[in-house]
Amino acid sequence: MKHLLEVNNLSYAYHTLQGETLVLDHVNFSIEQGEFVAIVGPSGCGKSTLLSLICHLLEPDSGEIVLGDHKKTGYMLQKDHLLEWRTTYKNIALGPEIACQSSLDLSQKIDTMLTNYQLDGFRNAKPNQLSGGMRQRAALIRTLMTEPDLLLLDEPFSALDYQTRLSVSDDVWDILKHEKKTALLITHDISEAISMADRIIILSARPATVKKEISVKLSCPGERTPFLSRSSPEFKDYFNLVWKELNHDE
Amino acid sequence: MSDRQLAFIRQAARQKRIILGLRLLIFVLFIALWEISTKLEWIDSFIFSSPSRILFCFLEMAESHTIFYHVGVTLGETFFSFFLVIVIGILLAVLLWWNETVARVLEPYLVVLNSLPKTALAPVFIVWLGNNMKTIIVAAVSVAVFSTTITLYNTFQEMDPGKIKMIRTLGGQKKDILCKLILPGNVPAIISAMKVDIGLTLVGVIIGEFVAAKAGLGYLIIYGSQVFKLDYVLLSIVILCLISTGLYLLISLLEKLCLKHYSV
Repeated sequence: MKHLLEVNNLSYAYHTLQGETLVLDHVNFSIEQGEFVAIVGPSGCGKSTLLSLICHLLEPDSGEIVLGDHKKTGYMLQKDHLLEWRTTYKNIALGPEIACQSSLDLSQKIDTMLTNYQLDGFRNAKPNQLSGGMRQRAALIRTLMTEPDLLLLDEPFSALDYQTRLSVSDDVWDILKHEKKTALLITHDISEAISMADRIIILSARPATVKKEISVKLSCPGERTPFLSRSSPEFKDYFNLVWKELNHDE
Repeated sequence: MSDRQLAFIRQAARQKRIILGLRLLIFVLFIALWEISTKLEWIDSFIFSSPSRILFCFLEMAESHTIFYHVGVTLGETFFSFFLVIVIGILLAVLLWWNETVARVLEPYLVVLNSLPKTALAPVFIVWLGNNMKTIIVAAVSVAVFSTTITLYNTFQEMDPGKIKMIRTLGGQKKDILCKLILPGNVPAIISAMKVDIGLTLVGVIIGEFVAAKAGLGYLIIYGSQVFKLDYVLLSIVILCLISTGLYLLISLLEKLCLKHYSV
């Protein structure tokens, strides 16, 4: 099977008048259709740069990023960035609005999404009337409206408090499984990576290269969710493994 | 409601009444003192006018409709200049935001034009544009437009880079960032610029009317002072007080209406 995403020998450097900073140094990995992959690495190692490159906000210095034919990426940022002057509905409609799509289906589709993900009572509410978890769900739906095949999650839970974070992780997981999306999650939280991902890619400190890839197989009672994953017997071993890799070169 | 809460509310209401009472008292005392001191000839009402003379002057001019004509001219010029300032200010700010090179090239010129006392330009405008309304409008626009441009450009630039990234990840181009983010996101900034501008354009219009006018309150002030009709001058000043307060309240009302729909 052809990979959904292939990253080959990707390098990227930032330029300032003070000098050149190599951020990514020959990064290689690939993602299959339907996979949930997490990338962990020390902070400032260029994880966000990697996502910006994958969704073409930046152009690589060398190497290539190959996305499957007619496949699209969607990007979910650290903060929800809902526009305060728009209602939930109008915020979610932002993607299609920019792409100049407007149809009756669209409003129906948004309403279905709002109902499916427990936001139906807040269709015309402004973002400041939503809770942290609701805002994050609305931001995810906004990203999903562009019908991405690969979802890039850039530490989407890091701005939330711990309790909200756990429940939003489960929500997002549910939504992604329900919509059958492939996802690439960036995080510096090891537990979060293990609880959500099928596979973890560990990056080195800057300039980042792929240090190790770990497949995560957890035995959960019943269906796996991020929350249940945390109490699986293998969780601790994976944690130690990733921890050791991350702190290896210090 | 507990007794203490009741007492608190009463205390707050009392405070409010005291403040309102003192405000009125200052006004009444000032008017009364002015009137009495002219009646008792402590000061010369020929030079200082007096509240009663101003009132009679107003009634006289109201009968011949001349005062309404002058007020109308000043108001018309103010609104027109204000409209120009807002439109030009927004367009220039957008231009600077759109093209960083242009912004960096023009920056020193904008700083100089902004800090230059625009009153110094009024005599120049009259030579260039003639003794007419064009000079007044240009003078008024020049007073407010540069500060508006700089203020708006600065707030445009302060837009959260995360939100810009969000628009770009949804496939948005620069025009989408402008139309979906920068302009709607800066409605409060634009309104607060308007609040400042309505006062500034009025200042500009009066300066313009001082040098180049055949009508308007600025003209009336200059004319009155030259022919020693101080009633004209002071009446005009009183009316200007009312106009500037009225215009400010008008923009505040607009602000309330806009922000009600903005984010609640």
